[in-house]
Amino acid sequence: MRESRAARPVPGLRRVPTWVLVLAVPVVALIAVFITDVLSGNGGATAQSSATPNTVNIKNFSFSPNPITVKAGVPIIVVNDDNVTHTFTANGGAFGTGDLGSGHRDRVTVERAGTYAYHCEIHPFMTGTVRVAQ
Amino acid sequence: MTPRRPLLLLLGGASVLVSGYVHYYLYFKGGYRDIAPDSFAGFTISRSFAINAIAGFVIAWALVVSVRFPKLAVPAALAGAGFAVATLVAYLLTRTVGLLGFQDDQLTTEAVVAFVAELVALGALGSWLVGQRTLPRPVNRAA
Repeated sequence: MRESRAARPVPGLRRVPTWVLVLAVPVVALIAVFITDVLSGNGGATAQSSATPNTVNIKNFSFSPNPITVKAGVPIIVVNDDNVTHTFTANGGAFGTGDLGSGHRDRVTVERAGTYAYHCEIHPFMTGTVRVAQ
Repeated sequence: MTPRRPLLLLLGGASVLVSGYVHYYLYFKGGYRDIAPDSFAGFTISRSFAINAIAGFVIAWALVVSVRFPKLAVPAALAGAGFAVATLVAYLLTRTVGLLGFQDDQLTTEAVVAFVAELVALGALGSWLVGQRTLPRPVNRAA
């Protein structure tokens, strides 16, 4: 009997054809996907930054290259190619970009030679290493 | 059944669809497609986003169709409520201790939209399911 109670539609719904109910969700989903593709332009691929020897790219929640080796005093350019904000922060606080929004870039400089572990403060599982040579 | 109850199913379906869409968007457009800091039996945080999007679509479709095919209503409502609870718990884990190695301290618009949608889905479908149990059975006039 519960099924028959559940079947009783509200007056407005009673006039809605069954095929409309069956197709409503797929059509809405297709429209949403289409609009998303149109608004995002290139199908979601963000512009890949040109890689230079001292550039760390952030893409798909990972740093690349990792590890990176630079000379002391040479700026490291950090480019966020993800669609979310990240940071490039040394574990010991030796350097840090602060919040780096989608598509933004910043630079950090390390003066002392050594090996520095770093991470993203927002996503702690994102880690990497900078090797600074004299 | 009171007139409000099919609308609760539709509201639940719309909310589940919104949550699934947000996860679709994050998977394909938001950079969440290749995140796999940890995996469990081949299950990664990226795949969980894809599974959420597919499940959200299927459950939303079942909820809307169940307005006309009542045998589908209870299982669809249970699936929708379960979907909302599982997604909320997974989100809270990623904001606290982490899930499959993924942790996110960032509050984004997408997260807020999905969070609200899942709360609405849970409220609507939970109310509908509770109503199913508490409504008096109709009198059998033939008896």
